[in-house]
Amino acid sequence: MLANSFAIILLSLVVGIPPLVFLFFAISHGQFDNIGATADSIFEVEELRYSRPWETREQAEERMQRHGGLLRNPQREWERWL
Amino acid sequence: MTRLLVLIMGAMATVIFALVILVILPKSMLSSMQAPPELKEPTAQQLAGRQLYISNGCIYCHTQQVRDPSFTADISKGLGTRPSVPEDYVHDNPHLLGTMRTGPDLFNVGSRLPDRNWQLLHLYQPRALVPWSIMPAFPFLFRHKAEAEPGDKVLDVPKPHAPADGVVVVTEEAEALVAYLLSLKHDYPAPNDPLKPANDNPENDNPEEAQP
Amino acid sequence: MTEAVASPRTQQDSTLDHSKLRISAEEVSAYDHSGRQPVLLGFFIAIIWLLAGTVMGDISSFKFDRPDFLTEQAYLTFGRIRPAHLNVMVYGWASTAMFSVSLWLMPRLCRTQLRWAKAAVAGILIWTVGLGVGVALLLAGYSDGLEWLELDRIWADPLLVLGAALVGASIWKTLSVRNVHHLYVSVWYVAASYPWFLIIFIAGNLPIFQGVESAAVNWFYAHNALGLWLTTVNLGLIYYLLPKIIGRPIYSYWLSLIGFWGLALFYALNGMHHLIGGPLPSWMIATSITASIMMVVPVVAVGINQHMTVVGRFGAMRYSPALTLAVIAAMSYTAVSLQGILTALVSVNRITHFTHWTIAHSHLGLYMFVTLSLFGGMYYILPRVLKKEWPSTRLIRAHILLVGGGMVLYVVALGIGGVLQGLSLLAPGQGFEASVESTRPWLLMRSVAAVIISAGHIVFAYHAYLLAFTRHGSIRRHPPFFEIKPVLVRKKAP
Repeated sequence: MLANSFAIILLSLVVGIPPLVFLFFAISHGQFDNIGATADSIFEVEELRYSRPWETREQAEERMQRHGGLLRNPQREWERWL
Repeated sequence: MTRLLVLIMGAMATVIFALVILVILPKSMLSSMQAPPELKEPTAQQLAGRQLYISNGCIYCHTQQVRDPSFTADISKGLGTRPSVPEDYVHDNPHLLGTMRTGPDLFNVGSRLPDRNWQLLHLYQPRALVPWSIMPAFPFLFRHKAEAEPGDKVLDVPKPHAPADGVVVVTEEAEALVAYLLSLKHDYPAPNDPLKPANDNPENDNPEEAQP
Repeated sequence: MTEAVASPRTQQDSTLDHSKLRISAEEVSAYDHSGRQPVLLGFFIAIIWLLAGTVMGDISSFKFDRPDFLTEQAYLTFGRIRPAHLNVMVYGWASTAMFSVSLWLMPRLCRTQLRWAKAAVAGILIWTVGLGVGVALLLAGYSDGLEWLELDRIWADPLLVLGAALVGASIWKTLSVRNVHHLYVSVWYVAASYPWFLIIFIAGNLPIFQGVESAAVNWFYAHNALGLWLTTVNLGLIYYLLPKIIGRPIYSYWLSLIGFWGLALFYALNGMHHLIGGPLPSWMIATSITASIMMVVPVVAVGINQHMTVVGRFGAMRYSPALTLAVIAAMSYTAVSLQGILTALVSVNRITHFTHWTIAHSHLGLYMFVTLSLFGGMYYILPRVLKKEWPSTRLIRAHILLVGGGMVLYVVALGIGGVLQGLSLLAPGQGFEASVESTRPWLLMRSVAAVIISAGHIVFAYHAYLLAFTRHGSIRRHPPFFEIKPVLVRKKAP
């Protein structure tokens, strides 16, 4: 139906194939393994161990079990402002 | 590096794809569109008026499009006799379709309100003619003089809205804007399917296509 | 050093050596410092534009209630002040603050100093000059005539393009020398936003389109400015702030991927839903309606992801104004997106199109999502860059209540007004007057809301001034909102 349908198909291939190629390479070189660890990358050393005043007992215990003994936030953030 | 390339190329691919589908492709498809014969090229005065329409932001309250009667009341409310089609806008640069109907649609205002003096007074003070109107007044499109000079066109403003003394004189800008508004009439019939290429395949020419 | 608060009863420490993976507080501080100049410059300029845009918005709103208000001068006419308000808010307040947010996030997430910071500073200044020129010309009557693209394409737009390109160059240069193996989700959102913005802005401003093509490219640009620039940088910010403040990683990284690529794929095709019923080939409008409906996928993915990260810990909002604003912004994003998807359906669109509903919807998005997110970002970022705390609990509370409450009033009032207007426009036998009359009380309420919001902005600007330029900053002993009786979370025994 389109006068330039050949051009469109060619353009779609030229624009669409390269990112898919690089995506394939990225996956095959293992860049997408252990992707869950990326979610942790924003936290500072010991930051996940800080005791947070809003957490319930169960939440605090879960935090303790996952990351170790709870610490007081050295920057005293939740006594001032976040 | 690979990861960055995936990100940038993927992001580019998606936006370019959309550009092609929504902008480049339609541009080439609509390039063969012809102006309907009854739709004249705008005159210099109408173009000047159109620029005033743009520079004073009329599009922020007024639309210029009549929608299909199958799901809207545009036609039954008198905005036009038929829905607007792409050909109606071939001379429009840029488009002024608008997105708000704080004020009425103007696609056919030249048919609905063809009186020049009405339009001029309405621009000077909308509430002089339409008491419930919330349209701003445009006194700066007119000149307030102590007395009329020879050659001046004086606007006849009703008492409550007229200035305490002096006269209101119509300027070239006001005339141009009104000329533009009055040119907004599309009472000719809609042309045929705009997506059929005009002279693509002579052997497939449909005899009906010869009609304008 | 750190003090122990509680010890586990079973395991002494977790087995993973987190210090090998985690960033240290000193490093973070250094990265914040590297971007200090452009970040502070951007926020300062953004607040000035916010105040200017607020005045313009108020004037525009009052003109609906008193149409003869300030009509003598051309530069104050509604048709110029209203687009000036939009351009100042979108390109002045939001975009400039987003430059600062991007320049602050990138060094942290890439674990390296901000590169080409001077280019970023130059970019912000050039952008500001471009916007200033554009708005001055707009008020003088020089408009390109396209909504969201009014700024003059000869004198203003090239400066805007250059400014954004310089900031983007700083972002990408920093990204290219990163010290991290993986790219956190916020990096994709922020980094992709710059090439996206530049491409769509240039495409939208090219003077090669006429007639309905011009309409298609207009709304291709305007809608993508929302979704591929304003939305993306703020989603990037929220994806960082929510887990960081709460202290839990984002719920599902795969959902983040789906959210990002779903947005990239579907959002860009949405633009024509602004032209439903309009004189465009029907396949274009159908494509946009379809793409709009498909947006449910990334929007719900993002919503679930963010909700599950915060769920059970909404009480944290009492301790952090940044979190409060980020959570409200995140919920508003989901709300405005779902509302937008509904509005793209023809059955709803026939009522809401061309009415004030559109304005209510746009403020739900641009204010309750974008602006509140940027306020939250500033509450979090400014103390870290200035190394001083916000001086006053009361001013924060006043600000958030005024702007939050004011905008909720705005959106609800104008939403109702818009629907009534739309129903009136459809009702047979009702003249145009009925639609205008039906909106008047709601427009008045919008003006009331505007005044409330303006007060909130003045409070915020004053507080920011106190923070940055005076010695008022003091260590607070108690968390904010401490005096308020906890509603969501039962208060723990000390």
